[in-house]
Amino acid sequence: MIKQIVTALKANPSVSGWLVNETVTVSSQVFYVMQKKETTRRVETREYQVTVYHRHGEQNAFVGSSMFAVSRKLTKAELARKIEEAVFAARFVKNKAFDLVKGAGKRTWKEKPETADPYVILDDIANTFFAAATPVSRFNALEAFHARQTIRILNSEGVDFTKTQSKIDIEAIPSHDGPERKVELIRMFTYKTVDLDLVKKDAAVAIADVALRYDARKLENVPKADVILAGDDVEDFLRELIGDFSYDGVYRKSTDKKIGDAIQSEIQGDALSIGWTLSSKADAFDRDGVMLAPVRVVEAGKLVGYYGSNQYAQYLGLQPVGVFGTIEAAAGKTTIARMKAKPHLEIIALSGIQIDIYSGYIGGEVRLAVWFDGKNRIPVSGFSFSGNIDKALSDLVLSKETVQGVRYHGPKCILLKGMDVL
Amino acid sequence: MTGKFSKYLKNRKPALQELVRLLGEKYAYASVLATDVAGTSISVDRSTTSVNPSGLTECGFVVKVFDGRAYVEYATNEIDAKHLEDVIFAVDRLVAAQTTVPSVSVGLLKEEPIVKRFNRKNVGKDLSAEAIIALLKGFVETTIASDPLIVNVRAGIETTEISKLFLSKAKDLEQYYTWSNPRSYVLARRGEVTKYAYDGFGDNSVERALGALGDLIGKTAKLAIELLDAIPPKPGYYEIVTDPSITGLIAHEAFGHGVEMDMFVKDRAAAKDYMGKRVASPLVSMRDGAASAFSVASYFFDDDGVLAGNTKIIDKGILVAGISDVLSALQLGKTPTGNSRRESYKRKAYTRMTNTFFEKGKSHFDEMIVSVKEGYFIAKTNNGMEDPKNWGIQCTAHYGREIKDGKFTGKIVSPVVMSGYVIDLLESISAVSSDFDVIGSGSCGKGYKEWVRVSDGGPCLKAKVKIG
Repeated sequence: MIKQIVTALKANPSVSGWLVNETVTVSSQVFYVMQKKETTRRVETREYQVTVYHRHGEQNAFVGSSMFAVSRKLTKAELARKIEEAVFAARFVKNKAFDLVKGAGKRTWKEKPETADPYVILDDIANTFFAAATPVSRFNALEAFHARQTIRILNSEGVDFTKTQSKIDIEAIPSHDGPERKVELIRMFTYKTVDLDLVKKDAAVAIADVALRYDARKLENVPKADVILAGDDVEDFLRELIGDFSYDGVYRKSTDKKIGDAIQSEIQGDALSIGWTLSSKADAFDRDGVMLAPVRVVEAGKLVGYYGSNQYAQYLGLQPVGVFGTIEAAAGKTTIARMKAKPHLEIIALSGIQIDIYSGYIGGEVRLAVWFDGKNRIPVSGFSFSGNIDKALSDLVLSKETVQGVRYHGPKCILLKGMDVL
Repeated sequence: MTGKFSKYLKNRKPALQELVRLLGEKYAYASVLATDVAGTSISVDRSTTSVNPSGLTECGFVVKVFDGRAYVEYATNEIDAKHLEDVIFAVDRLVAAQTTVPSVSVGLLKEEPIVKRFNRKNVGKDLSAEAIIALLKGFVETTIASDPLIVNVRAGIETTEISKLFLSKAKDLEQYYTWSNPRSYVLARRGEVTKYAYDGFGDNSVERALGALGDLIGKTAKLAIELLDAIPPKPGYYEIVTDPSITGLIAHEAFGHGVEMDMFVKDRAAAKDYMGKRVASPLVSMRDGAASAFSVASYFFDDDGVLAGNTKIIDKGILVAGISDVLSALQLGKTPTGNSRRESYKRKAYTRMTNTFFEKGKSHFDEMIVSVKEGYFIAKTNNGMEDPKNWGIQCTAHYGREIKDGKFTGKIVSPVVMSGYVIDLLESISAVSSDFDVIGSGSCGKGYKEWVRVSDGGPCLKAKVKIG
């Protein structure tokens, strides 16, 4: 089909440039209910996204583009009509002209596949989770997804890149039934490779955490606290901090920050260094065909670079560094043990961290936390915390210990001082 | 927009019927869901225009069989008459997959024979990409010119036409319908303060949607400028009056997720033990269903071939029913309510909400505001998160207007994050207005994934909540 698409694009004289993204996915999925297999699924798809570029205006000052999806086999006539419709729409798109990424032939990157059958892998993982269950704590639901995806991109300027990557996503619902009530947590895990020891550890922590939620009581008479965040909440926080520093964010004036501006003022804690990196060696290029290499966006608390798509980089007169999926941050100097030595609230599960960069708001409803009052560690639940991001950034503490996940490499924990608790 | 059921699916139908017949010889249950969803999303801001496929675009098939104990699904975007044996081979291989975790034992889905075709066309004129871009550009330029504080404006519309075919031994269903979602976003800046506002709605008329978008962008711009003076509210317990979008958010997050009955099967919902019991103020009645309101989730049959329903969930404060997909209904011995939905053919079907709302009451909005001693009128859904087992709730509104001694003070706060215990919140509802609106521009995840389009809404509510 890809040859047919390229031939049809080349045959249309109004097409001044083109980009084809082909995605081939094989996904094996197993759904477990009350630790029994409920549904087995397999998904096999081959799909295309075709972007048509059309230069127009005086001295070709504008480039219009229009994208369409191809999710099934099209006849020659159907494909030609789709391209013509896309060209028609692109004629009315008057974006400033830019050049597509130039390539020099075919290149391929591939992560080594697991040798075992995906369903055997998922079965092993499920068994490992279920082995962590106790008479009162178990996984009432577990959803396991093994996906191997090959992405190929071709454009009219010679880019022909292919990458193949795999991952395993797990949604686990650890649940605890006690005489007084039943409680649960939602836990998401992503694995690049199968490491059953790591899975065993994750399962054990999930079961321990849900047992802790059962014991949790309402937090009272603590109007302010230092809050320790970990896991996805740290990743979300850092992503939000640099979210507007993309080329299109800058071009669209979503931020007024310029290179060299501070994103932390009056730093009394750790200075942030945040950037983007590759999730693996095979994660070598972005959807425009820009070759990826780690980049720094924030260094020592100051904005040092932008990131993002080829089009908007050119609008700003910059070399594109590309669009990444994995965020990276430098570690701090404080060990987690030291971080936890003073009174604090260690957040274990939030409903969802709420961050509004423009309002400077950070907060969330706490499903499970541990309150350390200086002497005792008490599991607590059913309250919320909130605070001001700018103030929190001034005396932010980053842990020395780091994590290397699929979407995040960086400090395992961060400490936000003086949050309001209600 | 074609105005017609997908020609592609029509052409594939004989092959799919043959596939169901062949699988039916081996398996007690066999069905195929075929989807062809096409659409375009056009967006214009001060500097660029984009024309992309609608986020809902998909075209593929889900083949489902019963292996005697459980259900197995094979999803692909390539099925044709010449390769049916390949599909059957893939299904057989899945059924034969050897795993050590024991399987549940659910019964055979029993279906009543039904053959039906449904068609709901776009109302009014369909506009070309040229006309839409010109209109959106006009809105953007006019709004930017209206105030120097406005930094950027984005106007967009997503138009979608949905064709779905469901075939099983007993069922032969076809549906075609359209939906359009116009959206506005305005960014304003004064000195170092930057704020944004957004809005959106849904309609099954591109012409009407674009006709109303100009006004909507004007209102969004006014709000973005007002928000430049907003600060987050001081954490505390307040009386609130909600706009219909926040009412809908509460209905959705507080109780909607908790009555999705696949959560009953997994023992993940406290509501399971509250059937027939009081869960809210007697002023509260709540419904969900593709046929309960006309909005973005108003399909004719769900992704398991069950006709659209209209379920009363809470009646005058008493929990009376849940919503279900076929598999959870089967396991619970209930009749499915037409709430089986997939993010796309690539994903599993779950029990999902559709159009969810509180029914209107008799109070007047102005009287509700007058009755507030100290609190906020809170508006514009931002996001929410459910906790159906433990009945925690988090709902975030984009802004609130301060009320003191029954009057608006002119102060505005943003964002407004409400949290607390679901039953406390629902019990605290002390007035329900006679206004009513259902907003069809939202998306909903189950947990942190499986996104489907939903609407929610209702009247204005007066309640007491924790903000902070």
